[in-house]
Amino acid sequence: MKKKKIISFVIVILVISVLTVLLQKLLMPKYMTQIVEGALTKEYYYEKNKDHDVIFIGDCEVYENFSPITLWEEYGITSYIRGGAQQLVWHSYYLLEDTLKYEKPDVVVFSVLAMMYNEPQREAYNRMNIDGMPLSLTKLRMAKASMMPEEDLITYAFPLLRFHSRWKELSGEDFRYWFKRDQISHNGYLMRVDVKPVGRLPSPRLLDDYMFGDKAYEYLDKITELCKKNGIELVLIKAPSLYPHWYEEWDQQMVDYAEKNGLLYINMLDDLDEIGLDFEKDTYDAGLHLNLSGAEKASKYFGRILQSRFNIPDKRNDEKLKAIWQEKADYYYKMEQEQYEELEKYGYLLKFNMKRNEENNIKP
Amino acid sequence: MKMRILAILMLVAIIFAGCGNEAGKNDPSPTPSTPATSEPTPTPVAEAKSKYYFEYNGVKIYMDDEAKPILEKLGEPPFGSFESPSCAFQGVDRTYYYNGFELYTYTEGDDETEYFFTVKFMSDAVSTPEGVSIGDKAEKVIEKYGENYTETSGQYVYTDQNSKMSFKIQSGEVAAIELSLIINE
Repeated sequence: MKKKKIISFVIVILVISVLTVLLQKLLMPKYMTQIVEGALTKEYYYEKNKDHDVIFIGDCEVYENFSPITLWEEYGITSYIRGGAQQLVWHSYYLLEDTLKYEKPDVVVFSVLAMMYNEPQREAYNRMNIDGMPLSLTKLRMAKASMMPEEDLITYAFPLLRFHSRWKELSGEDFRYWFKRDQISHNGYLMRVDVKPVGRLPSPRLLDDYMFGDKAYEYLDKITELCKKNGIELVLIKAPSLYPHWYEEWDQQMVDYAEKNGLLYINMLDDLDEIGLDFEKDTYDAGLHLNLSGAEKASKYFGRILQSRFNIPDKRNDEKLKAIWQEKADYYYKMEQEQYEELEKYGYLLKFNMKRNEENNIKP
Repeated sequence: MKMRILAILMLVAIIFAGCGNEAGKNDPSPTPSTPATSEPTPTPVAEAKSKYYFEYNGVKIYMDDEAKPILEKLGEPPFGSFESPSCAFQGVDRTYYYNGFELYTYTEGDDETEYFFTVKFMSDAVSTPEGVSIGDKAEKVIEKYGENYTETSGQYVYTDQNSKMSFKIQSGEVAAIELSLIINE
């Protein structure tokens, strides 16, 4: 009788657990349309071949501005961009810590724009950067470092506690992607082929304090230390986005930091001509981010530096890698083609313009 | 049977444990509406009107005022505008270019209502209501605004309520003027 009760109890617990997991999967945002950046963190864990020469960490200035496919095709460099929307320095540190559980790259590239933030900014960004990680101590530490005052740590361990109220907002996307996801990036690169030329940019605003904050420096130090401990070369990079304004005072701090720590710091804004960027056609949002043609130019420029400075071997003759990257390239060019077709047919990219789709009664 | 009911009740209790906190007011699931802005998203620290404002063609602009009615009074910005949606659409900052000044507005999340957060003076074609323009001597700032300022990064900063008026001083002259919303980071 007692045995029967125990079995019954175990079955009840199992059923409840399964239902809870299913419910959580249904209720969590899927990030498959419009805000696809939210899917980037999770997508890395689906990657079969986690063995890259270069790992990028940072905000939109990495996942919009560099193309791993170009780095492979031009230099035989394997890379992955572990980027996230408004990924702050502490997000980047813990994402790197987590990445190093799976692989050890030769080079880590950190986008320094995030240094301008010294405090967590918004729960939505925390969710996009953290929720996609598998549960671990690293994830919980990351959440603890990132949380806004009103957030609870337990909701990062059990996201259902945070998203249970989404049942009112469930849409077709939630059911369609309940158990599977589309691949939205190309090794972390978010492709956009549309064009919006740069016009007049806002003048740089006055800042109360041009010094980066203590917390930003604390986590940059941690990234530097983590890379040194693992024998990884760290490169600090300011991507060639024209806005937000990159102040001279900020630039000098990164120059000084790199010098003090023996790191390479590249401000790509200094080399726009050499990169060959034409902001009449290489940006999709008037200078904030590069489009595909811009990202490919930036990658060709940066790949040359990576190869010459760090002697990263050209692996294009490795048959196994060749096959893996061919498959990736096929998907890349297929998406490029599809985006151009969408532009021609609708005048904009469906996935990034859900409001316009609604207005035009289009279901992507 | 009792055990099953207890287990279900526990599950329900766990799921709804997060309901009572304030986070529920802040939708964590991003909705269309952010590029990286050059400063954190403004959060006003006070609601009373500040003594610092900007006036152009008889139209007064206070920080955190709703922008739409004021922009309508000012008319079409002669030099256009700039829009910077944040990463993953968590709000939009806009800049409107007028003759001698730029107006900056922000929106929050899904709400498309724009609010002012900065007026940047671009030339001596405009001046503060107290009569200070770019190119004036630093002494004039003190004469008009008094000595109750803080000096930071080469700027004289005067604060009142939710606003601050900043004068960047270079070689003894006013090189830049900004009226902006005081934000909590």
